[in-house]
Amino acid sequence: MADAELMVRVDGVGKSFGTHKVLDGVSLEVPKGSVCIIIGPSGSGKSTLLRCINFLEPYQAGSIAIEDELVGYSQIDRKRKLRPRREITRMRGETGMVFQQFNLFAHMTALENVAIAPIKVKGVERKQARDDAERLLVKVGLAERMSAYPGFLSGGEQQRVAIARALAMAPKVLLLDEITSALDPERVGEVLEVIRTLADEGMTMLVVTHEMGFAHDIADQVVFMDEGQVIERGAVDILDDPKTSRLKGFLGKLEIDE
Amino acid sequence: MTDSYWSLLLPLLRGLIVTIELAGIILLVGTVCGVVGGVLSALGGITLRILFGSIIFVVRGIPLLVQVFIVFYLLPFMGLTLSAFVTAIIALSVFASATIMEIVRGGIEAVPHGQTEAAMAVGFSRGQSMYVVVLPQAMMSILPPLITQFVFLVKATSIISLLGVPEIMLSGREVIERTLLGFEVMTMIWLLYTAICYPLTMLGRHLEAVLSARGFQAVKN
Repeated sequence: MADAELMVRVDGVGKSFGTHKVLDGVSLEVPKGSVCIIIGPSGSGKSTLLRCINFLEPYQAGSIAIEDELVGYSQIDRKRKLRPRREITRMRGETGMVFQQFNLFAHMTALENVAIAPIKVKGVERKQARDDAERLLVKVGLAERMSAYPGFLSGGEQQRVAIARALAMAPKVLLLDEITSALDPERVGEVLEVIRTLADEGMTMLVVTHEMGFAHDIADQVVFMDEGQVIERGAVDILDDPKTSRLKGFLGKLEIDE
Repeated sequence: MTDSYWSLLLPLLRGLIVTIELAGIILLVGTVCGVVGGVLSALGGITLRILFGSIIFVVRGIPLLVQVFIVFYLLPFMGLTLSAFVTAIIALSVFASATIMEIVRGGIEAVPHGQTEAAMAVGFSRGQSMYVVVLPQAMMSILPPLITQFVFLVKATSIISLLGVPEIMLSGREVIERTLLGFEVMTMIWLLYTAICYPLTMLGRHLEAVLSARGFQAVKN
């Protein structure tokens, strides 16, 4: 089923570590230019799902496709066959990922962090890549911090550099894995602001988050996961009016925590 | 008096040149093989790890002096007739490569895995992730033990005197046998080794300073 409007299609994806099923028949679809928010308790498989989408983790059942191109495997019926490493690498370059722990390259300045991938992966000319990187850093509000090393940046600043680094590859889709969970509370806003702007610009995103207010604001679609399964999936109003008792329970627990 | 000291020193200086040649070649071979081996065993699969692991196990378990003699007797046994100089280089290079490989592998593994993941996520190949992202960061933790190992290897070339290679130590012993000025000559030998090792240590410190000024930090988080 080809659908020109679809960016990401996850179809019956399963993955286990030993006997523990981390993902158990997960399916979802993310149309181009839309924001899909994934929520759920810790250990529910949200992060693993994101990591499967750029094949940082292999999956063992089902399929994931980005713009109808299968992720990781060239064949999934009968026997699974891995795609050549070169193609897996290329698809990763077309998918931006931002991590909870930032993972900025510690030996490079903010600018170099953003410019390096276009230079090394796409063969963009150095000068051009630096200009582009400057533009992206201005966009995330770090015009003043371009020559700083990650060790000298606050968590919020590091995370904004990480977003710029992902954007520098002009990805088809951005995967955001609890990008504010490691931040001081007063630093969360500045990062979410950047993501809001991206959503307004029509960037396709899959966002794992615990920030419900934020989820409310930018979600086109909400997916609730628990124990490796999609329990409930729908428009943003499922947050206000959950159909399943598990989502109801999860949201209730969040309110008590806040 | 000065004349006699010169006649002591001159053979030693000739020995010094041989020592520098030996050490230079051994450090070069050891560093190249050690870095390649260390990267391969950090990147590679289980087979490489077991292969390199067993080399290191063997090398670690044998005193260096014994290793040198094993190579010395093994090569003719295998039908290879090589000069003592080349035999010495082979023996010490194996030792240097194995120990440096461990240092490099350790340095690479000390870099947080998140760095590799972030590198892969922006589309770097495994090789690129290694040399663009991981290796530069591993440098800071590799450099200090590497320099220590360099200094050790320079001094370990003195063992080679037992194979009859006329490096500083053997040259010195010959002078002592001729003149019986044991303490004087040994002091000269000591100072000559120091003359190689001290600059090496300083070079290491300098490199560390240069790297940390360019944002390379010892691995954290």
